[in-house]
Amino acid sequence: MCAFLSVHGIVKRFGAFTALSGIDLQVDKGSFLCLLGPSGCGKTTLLRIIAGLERQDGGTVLVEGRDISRLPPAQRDYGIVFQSYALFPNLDVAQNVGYGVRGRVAERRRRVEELLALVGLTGTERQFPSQLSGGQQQRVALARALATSPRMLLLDEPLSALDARVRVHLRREIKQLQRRLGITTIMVTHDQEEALSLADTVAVMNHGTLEQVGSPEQVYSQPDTPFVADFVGHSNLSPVQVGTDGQVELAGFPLPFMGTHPAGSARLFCRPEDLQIGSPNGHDDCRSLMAQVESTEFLGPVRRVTLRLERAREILLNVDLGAKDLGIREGQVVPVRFPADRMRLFTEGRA
Amino acid sequence: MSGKLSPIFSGDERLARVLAYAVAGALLVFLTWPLGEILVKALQSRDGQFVGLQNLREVLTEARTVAATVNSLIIGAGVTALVVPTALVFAYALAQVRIPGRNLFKLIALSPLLTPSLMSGISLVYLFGNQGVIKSWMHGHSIYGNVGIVLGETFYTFPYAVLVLATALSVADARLYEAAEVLGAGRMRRFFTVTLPNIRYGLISACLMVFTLVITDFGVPVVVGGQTNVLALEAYKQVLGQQNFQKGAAVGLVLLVPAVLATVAERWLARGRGGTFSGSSRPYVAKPSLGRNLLLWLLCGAVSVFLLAMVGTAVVASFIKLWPYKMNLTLAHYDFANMDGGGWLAFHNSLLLGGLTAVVGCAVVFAGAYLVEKTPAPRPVAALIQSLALVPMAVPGLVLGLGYVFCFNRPENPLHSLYGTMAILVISTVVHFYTTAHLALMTSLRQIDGEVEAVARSLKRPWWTTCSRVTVPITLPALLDVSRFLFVSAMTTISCVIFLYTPKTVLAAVAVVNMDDAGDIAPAAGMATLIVASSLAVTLLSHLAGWLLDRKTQAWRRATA
Repeated sequence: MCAFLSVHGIVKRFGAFTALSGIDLQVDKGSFLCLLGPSGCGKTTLLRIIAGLERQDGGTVLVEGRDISRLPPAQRDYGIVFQSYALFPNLDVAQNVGYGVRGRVAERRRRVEELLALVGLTGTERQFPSQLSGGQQQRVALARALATSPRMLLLDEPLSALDARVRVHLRREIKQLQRRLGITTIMVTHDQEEALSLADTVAVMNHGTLEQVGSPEQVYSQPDTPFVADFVGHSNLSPVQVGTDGQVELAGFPLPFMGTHPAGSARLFCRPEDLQIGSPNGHDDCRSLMAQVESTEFLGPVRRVTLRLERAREILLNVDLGAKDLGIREGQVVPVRFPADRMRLFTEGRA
Repeated sequence: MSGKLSPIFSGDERLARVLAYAVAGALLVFLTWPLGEILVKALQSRDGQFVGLQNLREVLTEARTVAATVNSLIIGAGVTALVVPTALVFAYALAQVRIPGRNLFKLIALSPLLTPSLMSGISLVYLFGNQGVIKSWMHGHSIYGNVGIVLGETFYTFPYAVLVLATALSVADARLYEAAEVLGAGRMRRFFTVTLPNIRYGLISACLMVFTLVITDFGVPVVVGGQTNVLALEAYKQVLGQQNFQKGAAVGLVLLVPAVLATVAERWLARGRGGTFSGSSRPYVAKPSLGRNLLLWLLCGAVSVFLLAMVGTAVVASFIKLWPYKMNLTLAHYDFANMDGGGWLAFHNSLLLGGLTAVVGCAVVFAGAYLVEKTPAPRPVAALIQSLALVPMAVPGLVLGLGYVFCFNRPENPLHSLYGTMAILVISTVVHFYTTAHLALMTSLRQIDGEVEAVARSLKRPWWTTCSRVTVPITLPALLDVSRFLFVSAMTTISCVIFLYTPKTVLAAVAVVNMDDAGDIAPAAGMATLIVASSLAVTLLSHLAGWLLDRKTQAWRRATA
């Protein structure tokens, strides 16, 4: 299948600062891509380059094989929504939504009604943006972006200015709308939960480069780099040694971990929910790695336990237990079990 | 890789770029070029030979110009020392104490902005001159000279100082005062530890502004200067009197120094500042105290009487048959037909200049600010417009006028045909007041979310649609304000246009100077009265228009959830 949008070798510099260093990315037709990363990673710059609002210093942007790198924004055919909503403050809702709609008055009105129905704002036509809540304003912005039936929808942190509850609600609506219209969508966000729940594909960025591109499941459970492991969700990244025989050891304790890794130092990735704690009354035998419960933290759905290894007191591990799992108390010494199939190893030096 | 290839612009973007080049080009031609000519002329002898710094050396060493310089400095310092403390108390009464009647006091304090600077000179002559009604107050001293100039300049610069200081005082954060009081600081301590540090930038910039205005003004000295020569007069005499352009240019350069220094100092002070008044700040209002209010009221009252006298005397005298002997009312002095100086033609010309300056100036300045801020104008061009727009602030009108003479009076200049037309008066006036207008419109434009343009472009609408449907309606109050400012400035200004008018394009303010010169002081007062009346009328009209427009186009500002 041919990618709808493809980006090749995009480079962008601001003076001495390199914002993007050679980005390659493909987006399939009708799919939802999230650009995820910390602030300053270049995700918004990449979106603005795709939108034609910023000029790249190198590289091309293709839509269905056609080079649009040099085209002005108006000829690129996309709708865009910003964090600030960017509504026309002096125009009412109907005028805002209908701003890009062409045709006769009656047709325009019908289109505006249709769009407002689509975002659930029927009846607000005559109101000014300042009379609407943040969530409503963002829906108006969304309706306005869709008004010209563009081939592509660009969302620049559209939910970041909203309250937590509204954010989750609107997130679902955006997802449903995108599915229903089948519009190719690129969204910029720094919120990993948002990215995981919305996207078909997540592209994790850091320091102007792509760290990993994959499905939300891949990015979460099989991170390619320590950065992705750390940025997406909670993770344990523990220092380990790989022997010449390929045996992975944590503080001298051999882990049930198979794979071919070069000998030397490495970091072991494991999600807190994948680690297990044995019975505190279990035997302190040499087949279990023992750790002391440092603290427990109640987080609602889970209880996060911080463990300190008996063998190496400087190493801490986080383990998530069910919230009802009350059997663990601070100060106890417990055995830790590592899941063989849910661990990854990052060789040191590989950023 | 095709990324480095030049971008393709849409038609509307191309037009925006062309317009940006045009604005930048116009600023280069009508601002940079004339200023450059001053520099060139200042380094030439009368027959056009390059003589280096000789003219400047002469200005700084000849007894006549040294005396003028010393006078300018003394008067500048004196007026600053008189105006700034008074204006500080006045502004304090308005902004922090909020004494009763403060709106009226504010109106009176700002009234000099509606008058030509030389109007106070005329009033001073009527009050303290040879036939002055209260000449005895002078105890035998003459009003002509230093005393008259200082009083006149005090009137002229007072509103500027009040505006700057009231702004500085009004951003005082009440929480700081509360904190100081809780910590046990007394009234004096609060003044020195909270108030003064808060307004020190405002104080410095008020001092610099007043000093520069006084040094470069020539309207007051030309009327009440008498035998006292000042630098601004000297430039005028050298160029218009003796046709010694080179010497005039050198004097102009000397006048440019304090203005440029003041501007640079202000920029330097403003650096890294701003944002002391955050969203959670509360404006400070002093606690009511009867004694203090009474004291402030008396002072504000005294200042107001002085300011009103400076406008009012000339207005009243213009309707009096023969001041102070025959105090019957008459309209005879408004019969300009039998008078040299330009008469009604001058007044009509001034109205035309005001109207054209307001319309053309507002359009050009808005275009410059809009193109820089809201369209993909080429970056070097945008930077050029941004920096050139700030230059006129540092250029006294007198110096700008000299530059225009040197530049466009030369027959070999391709724009020579502009010389002596209304067009050059309009252009020079727009350039003269460019910075204030530019900054006001820029502030207003920056309040509009920058992403609005990006959205509009994605919706395939050209910028002029967005500009006319969104940007202009939102900035309308600011546009109206700027137009009014330009009109009133064009009506009252003299320092720049005095070098550029011809008998056909003579202006009202120039006519005042000429009639006063010819000894026709009552008609001069009449003409000055007409200037004030039309400035006032336009100000009132613009407020009315603003009110109507506000109801029609600004409803969205008041709409809340």
